[in-house]
Amino acid sequence: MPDSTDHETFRPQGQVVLVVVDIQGAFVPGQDAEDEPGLGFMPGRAGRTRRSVDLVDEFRRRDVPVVFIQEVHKPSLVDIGRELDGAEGPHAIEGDPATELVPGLDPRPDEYVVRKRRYSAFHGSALEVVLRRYDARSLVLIGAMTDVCVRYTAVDAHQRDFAFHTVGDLVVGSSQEAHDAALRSMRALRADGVVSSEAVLGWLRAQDATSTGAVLAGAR
Amino acid sequence: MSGADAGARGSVLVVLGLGTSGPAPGTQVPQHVVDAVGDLVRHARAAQVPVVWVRDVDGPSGTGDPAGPAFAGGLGPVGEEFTVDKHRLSAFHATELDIVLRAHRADRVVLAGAWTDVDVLYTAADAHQGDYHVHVVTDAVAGTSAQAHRDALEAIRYLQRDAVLGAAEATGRWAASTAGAVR
Repeated sequence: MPDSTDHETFRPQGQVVLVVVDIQGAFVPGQDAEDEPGLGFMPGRAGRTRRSVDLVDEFRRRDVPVVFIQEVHKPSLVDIGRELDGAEGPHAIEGDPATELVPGLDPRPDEYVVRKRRYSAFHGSALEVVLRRYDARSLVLIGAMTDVCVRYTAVDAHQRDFAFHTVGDLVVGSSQEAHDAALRSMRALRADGVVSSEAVLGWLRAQDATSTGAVLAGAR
Repeated sequence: MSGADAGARGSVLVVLGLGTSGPAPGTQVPQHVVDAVGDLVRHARAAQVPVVWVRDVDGPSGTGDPAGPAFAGGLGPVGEEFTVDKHRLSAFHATELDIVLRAHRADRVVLAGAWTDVDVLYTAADAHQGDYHVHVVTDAVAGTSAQAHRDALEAIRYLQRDAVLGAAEATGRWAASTAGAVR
């Protein structure tokens, strides 16, 4: 599904939080790693990862909260659940450099990193507690994989009465087909369940105008 | 996976989306799917596989109301079979389904009903994340469209490669393991 079908406007309700889902991997300088141990991705992951790091900075610059999600498993795989019964091999092993969030995300001391051992970022995690603390109502989702962790996080957000907005050009699927199908299913849940990064950036810039206007009004 | 692993013991059949006041009013589950679910339920009962009935309820009046939504095709719980009321998409979300499955000592969930790309997919994902083996009986589920149905089955196969079964295969496994238990 081309990104042009994404919602051209992004009109969130209430407090917005950027949720960065499983952007992990050891990137060798000068070389774009497309895969992680145990996981295969659709082409183009490195570019989407770089632009995701940029989007995180755009949110930070406007003081819109960012929450990082990191999947982890013990080396013994005691906590892997049924994740080896399908398409994936052992992955996200604690202590493996490839399990760390990619360089450039670098969570700040005031930002939450929520670790999870299943696909949905809500499953057995503190994510909902963290989001309530921010009084979040609308979640912007970026990361990987579109058809697994992003999709199941989106549906859990939806069931918890958050509005989710997956950035279609900043998520990466296990294959192009699975990515496209997952975006279709997210659009089926919410008309604006998939948005473009341009639309999100447009909203962020509009926040600048609003806050500048407020400052000017206050100064007058 | 051996046949014994997927047999009757530890399995529970969960029927989704056949409550007559479903989440997509006006969209009817195809009769052949209702009939296929009915066949599956009969085979499950014969093999002593517990059956759980999930209803979609909307608003406070639906909650726990024994005279709430009925099930399509004259189907529904008999004896001590559980009815689980859900308000959202997954049958695990804010329901007693996990308690019911543990009560049955289940480690394997077999899903049938509607809709493949909504209730079935998201219930399968939660079963998977809850460490259950999960199966979807492909000829006893209906999608909101042919493509959505295919996409959802593919997504469920991604989670567990043996998840998608035909009805004959599912009932054959139950019957074989029941015969083994009797012998």
